[in-house]
Amino acid sequence: MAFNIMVVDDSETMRAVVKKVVGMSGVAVGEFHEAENGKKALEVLDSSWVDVILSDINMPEMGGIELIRAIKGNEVLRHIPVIFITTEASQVRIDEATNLGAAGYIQKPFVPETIKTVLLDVLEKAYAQRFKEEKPVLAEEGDAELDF
Amino acid sequence: MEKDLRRLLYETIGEVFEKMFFTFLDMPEDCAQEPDKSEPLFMEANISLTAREQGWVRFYFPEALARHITVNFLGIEAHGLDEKKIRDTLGEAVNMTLGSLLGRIDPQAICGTIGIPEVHALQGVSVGDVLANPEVIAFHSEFGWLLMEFGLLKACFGLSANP
Repeated sequence: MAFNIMVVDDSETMRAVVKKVVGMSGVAVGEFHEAENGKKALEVLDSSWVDVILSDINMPEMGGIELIRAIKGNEVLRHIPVIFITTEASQVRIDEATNLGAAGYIQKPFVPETIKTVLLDVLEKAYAQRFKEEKPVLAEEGDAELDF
Repeated sequence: MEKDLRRLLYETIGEVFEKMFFTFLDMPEDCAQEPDKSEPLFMEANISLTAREQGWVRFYFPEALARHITVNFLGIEAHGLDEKKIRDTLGEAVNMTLGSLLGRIDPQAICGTIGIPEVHALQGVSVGDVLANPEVIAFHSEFGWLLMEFGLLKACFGLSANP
């Protein structure tokens, strides 16, 4: 079984970059969902099962902070780990995201290895048993150095 | 412009362009070449910052540099480029630069809210036109000169012109 992943970013280009990096990370990806802001992400969550969310913070209509508030306030969705990938670099903003329940925080500019490391760490913590079952796939493909 | 701010801007932009776009930039004083003032500029990308006051950062790109960083960012072939991909990439460049700058200057505090990047095509604007503003900083790359202009950034970050 693979992990369903959603990337939330108002930049289609950044979504493509993150999707590419995730694809190279060795994580077994099932469905890959995209949303251009928090509001659209919630619509996706209404109809699709998502295991982990990689989200920007600064987006029009509904940003990442509002999105995680909505997710953590929903009994059905609150277990979904949210990793922020953002230019927002202030410690206060990082603390705010962590206090709201963010599972990880990646600052742009990033190197692909950072996304791989944080994603694997978050999946392992959130889905220990399932992650273990996926381990052979990860060990086989995850050892390869990311060529980005 | 004071030397420290200039150096900070260069280090920040250099890191963003190196890490995300695999493109190396030089400060004019570190490079033997002078900007070609007749070179046409292709697009501008700007972003606002709301802090103590409203500020903004704007990049001007020649076409070759805009195309080069988009190809590198997306890991695609040059023939796969389109205007939307270029616009998105230039927007990300200015967004990441301002975000990084914010983190370097005052990582412990909320010192500003970053706006949504805007990218516009330029027509009839040359490197010389933009460099007429003495506050503009030029960075050399092998794909042309990246020009950076900013307004009220010092006030936003509480930086003094005469430290």
